[in-house]
Amino acid sequence: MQILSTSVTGVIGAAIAVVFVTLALSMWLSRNSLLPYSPFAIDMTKTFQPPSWSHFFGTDSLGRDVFSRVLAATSIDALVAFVVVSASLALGLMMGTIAGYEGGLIEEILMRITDIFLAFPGLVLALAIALDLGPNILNSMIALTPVWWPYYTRLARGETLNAKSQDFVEASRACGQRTRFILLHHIIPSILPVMLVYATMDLGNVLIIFSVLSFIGVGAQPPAAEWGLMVVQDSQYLFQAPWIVLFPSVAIFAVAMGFSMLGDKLRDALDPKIRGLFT
Amino acid sequence: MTLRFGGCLPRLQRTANSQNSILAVRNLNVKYRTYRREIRALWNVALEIRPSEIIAVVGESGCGKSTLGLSIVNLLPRPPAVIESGEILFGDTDLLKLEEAEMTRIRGAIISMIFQQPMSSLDPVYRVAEQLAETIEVRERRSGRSSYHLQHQRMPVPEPPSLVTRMLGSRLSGQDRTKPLDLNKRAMKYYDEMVEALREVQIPDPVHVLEKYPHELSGGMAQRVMIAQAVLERPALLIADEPTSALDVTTQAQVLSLLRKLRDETKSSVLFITHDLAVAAEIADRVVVMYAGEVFEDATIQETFKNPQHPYTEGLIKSYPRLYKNQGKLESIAGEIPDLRHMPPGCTFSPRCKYVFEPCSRKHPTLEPVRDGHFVRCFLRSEKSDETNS
Amino acid sequence: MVTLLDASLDRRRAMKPILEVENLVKHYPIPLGVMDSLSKKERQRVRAVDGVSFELHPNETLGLVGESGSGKSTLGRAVLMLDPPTSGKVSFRDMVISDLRGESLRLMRKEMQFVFQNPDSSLDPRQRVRDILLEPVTAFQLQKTKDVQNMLENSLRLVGLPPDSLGMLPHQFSGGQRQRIAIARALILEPKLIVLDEPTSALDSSVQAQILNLLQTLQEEFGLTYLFISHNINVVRYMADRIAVLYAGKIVEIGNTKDVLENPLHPYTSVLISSVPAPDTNQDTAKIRVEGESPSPVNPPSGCRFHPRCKYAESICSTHEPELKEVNEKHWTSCHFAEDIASGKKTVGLGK
Repeated sequence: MQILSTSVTGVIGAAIAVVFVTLALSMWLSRNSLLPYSPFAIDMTKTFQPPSWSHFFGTDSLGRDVFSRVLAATSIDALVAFVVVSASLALGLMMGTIAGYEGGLIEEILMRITDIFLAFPGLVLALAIALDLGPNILNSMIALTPVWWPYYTRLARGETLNAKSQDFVEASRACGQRTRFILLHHIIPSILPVMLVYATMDLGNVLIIFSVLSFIGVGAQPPAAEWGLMVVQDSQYLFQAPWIVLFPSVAIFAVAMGFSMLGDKLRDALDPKIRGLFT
Repeated sequence: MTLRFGGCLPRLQRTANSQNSILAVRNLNVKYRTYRREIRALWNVALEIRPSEIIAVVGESGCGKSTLGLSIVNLLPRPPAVIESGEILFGDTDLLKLEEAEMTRIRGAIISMIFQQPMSSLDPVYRVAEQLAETIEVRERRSGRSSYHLQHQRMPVPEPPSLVTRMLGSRLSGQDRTKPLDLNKRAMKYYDEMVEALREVQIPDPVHVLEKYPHELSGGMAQRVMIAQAVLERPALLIADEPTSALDVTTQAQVLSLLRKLRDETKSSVLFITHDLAVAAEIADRVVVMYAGEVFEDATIQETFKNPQHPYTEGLIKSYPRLYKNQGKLESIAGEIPDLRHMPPGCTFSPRCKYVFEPCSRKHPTLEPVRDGHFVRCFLRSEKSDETNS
Repeated sequence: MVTLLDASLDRRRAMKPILEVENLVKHYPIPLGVMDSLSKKERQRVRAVDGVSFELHPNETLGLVGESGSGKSTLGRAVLMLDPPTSGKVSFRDMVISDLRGESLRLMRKEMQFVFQNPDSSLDPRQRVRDILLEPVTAFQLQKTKDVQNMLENSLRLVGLPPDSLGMLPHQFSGGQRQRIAIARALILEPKLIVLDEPTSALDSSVQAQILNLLQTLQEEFGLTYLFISHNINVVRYMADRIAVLYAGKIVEIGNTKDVLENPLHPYTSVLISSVPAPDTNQDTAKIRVEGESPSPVNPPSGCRFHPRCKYAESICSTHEPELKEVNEKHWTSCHFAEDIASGKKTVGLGK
């Protein structure tokens, strides 16, 4: 906590993350009723309005309030980011720890499967799967997960090998503990901090890729409010009404950066040397 | 009494100060400051090192012995370390007041240091010859002239290989493969001196060792290379921070006798830092016992072991398992080393001392002489105390 | 003159050994590169333990002494099957355990425990003391049948720690206290045999004596058998009834502690004893220095492994590996010239 609070990037990152998550949750729970305008309310009389006091971010080509749409989008983007990262984390943890701990043939098989998935360029793989399943948000999540979990598997395996060499793991074996217990109670708690740091930084990445998918047309579909979608829908008006594209883009950038900064500082918080300065 | 130096340093006096010591630490106070708290690493530490003396600083973890060594050569990481007060007098110069540039001239030339892990002190991407050559080159630059001369004529130094040999390899040029090849130009320049230095530290095959990388050396060999590097300049003082703790006991015995031999030949003084009382007994002339940042006892080696005055010293000696005596239960010192963040009031050893009596937990004792050259910090031996209660 | 100590030793020796190790070998293969394996190069192995045999009797402490690379830690782990041996037989109470794997091996762990060198890494920093101590109990589902709270508090009391330690985390304790927790963990299932791998090497000297005393008290109280591994001869002298000296993966001398240390038969043992510093100022005992480097575990010297560094070496020493022979009563050593050196007939060798 202290390390985060004493660094500027830590504070900013944490702040952005908190704001993002809070907005997402409140949007979702209130079903967008808290917003000044409905994100779907079309008003052809009020199209292309520049930012003003009544419309903070202006309106888009269909007269929808950009501010409300940007805020509403948080719930979709947050959902996708967290679901994909969580699923990848869970899968990666499971496969990586077993591979790292058991070694031998099991490790070979698991890691080769991982390598196969890693061989595909991420975006292409996601695109292919999403197109195949049909473009919508749920399918995007299903499509993105296979792209992400190999990295977690690799990370988990490496960290497991590290943790395995610790004396307390051997001590546990010497006490007669079974493998399953050791994995659950010793290895995973030991590697979880590193994995979580990585996951935090990754949230931003997933967000960006999902926006790209929406941008291409295989992610969120209109009339949903989603940042990538908002950018593509009115991209032709970039020069006449730049605010329509600007605010969603800034949002993507800010959130991705925020998580990245937060993750970076979290990593510092875990580093025992830096920690030593604070105890 | 004049001292012998390798290079010449204009500003430092070469004569000993009035007390016949080459280094005097006076009232040194060092703290480590972190965001949350302050730890007192050294508390009013005072000691003196005389010419050609091996002085052992003995203590357990947290006693501040490493901090002391690093303070002398200004290698303490600051922050978090803070030198609050004190002087480290070398001749008439206070080392603590020197600028970094001046300190750099002293390090290596006048005061050298070797550490516990020789592997981490040697750069893994350079060969031994290149690292030794670098040391020599720095020295040459500093002193402005070559100050090396073969002091003792020993076995003839083998000829460095010819240019042809180096370029083509020995097989092609027909020269003997036992000579080293492809050392860089700088290393070749100081070849004689390096071989001589390695011989002095009893490395049996110096020619081959010169062309090895650090990871190809064993612990004992690497430590000897470190010692060679440290004494290349005939420093007045060599600080050795636990140099044998990572070595096997047979290797340790070799390195200790080597250090003694070097001291006899070069007349350098040695500040030997160790946690092992027995190692101190092997090598030292004087012993300084430290505990939780303070000096508890300072005496000659005979006095320390025959007449330990401080209960802690006595406890340490008695709790050491012996080879040749039949012991009943081992006498142990009760309790644990205090947490440096929460020091006990009064004498820092009082919670564990079996002789504790009235003043011990109230007042803080000062370091006093009990007989000639034997100093103790304990109320059992003297009444004097630090009136400012800390 | 047979002292009381010797008499009890003999009595114990007459009982069946609790542990028998026969020809234990532990090699670690060095992975070959692709090119090497194609060229059918013989695979190199690290010969950590290269044929060790000994017996352990109930309630005795056998000290395993050696320097780095001698194989003593590997031997300790192999005996407990933490790192199963490459070949050889280990029998615990007449049951061959070296063949066991999986569940049947796991069940044996109730009787044999291990104490590690480093108390900082042998306790999981994320586990509270209660959970650390509970692990052996839950591993064998004993928590249902016994009064667990009592068990835990009792084990803490035995090692001199207060019962409220149960809720604390390892980093809140000092090194010595952490080692006590590790010992409590080893004791909680009431094992018969405990292998201790340098249990005090990572501790400060003032604490070392406390832990050694504790270990002795526990041994007397519970009739434990210890395999005590250490590079520190002084400590082993204090703790062990018998000593085995290891060099390059083999036992070079084994016998009663007193005999081995006062009348060493193997040249290496003499060197080892002579190198040990003592906190005394009587440094008149002539030091026997040894030159040379430690033997390579991948390519140990031919014949007797100590021959390159031995001042008594003759040509036979480099060609024939000496066997472990009983030279004096219950005092074994592997040296071609053991008797001659001991009686003073041989003072130096002709070299190889």
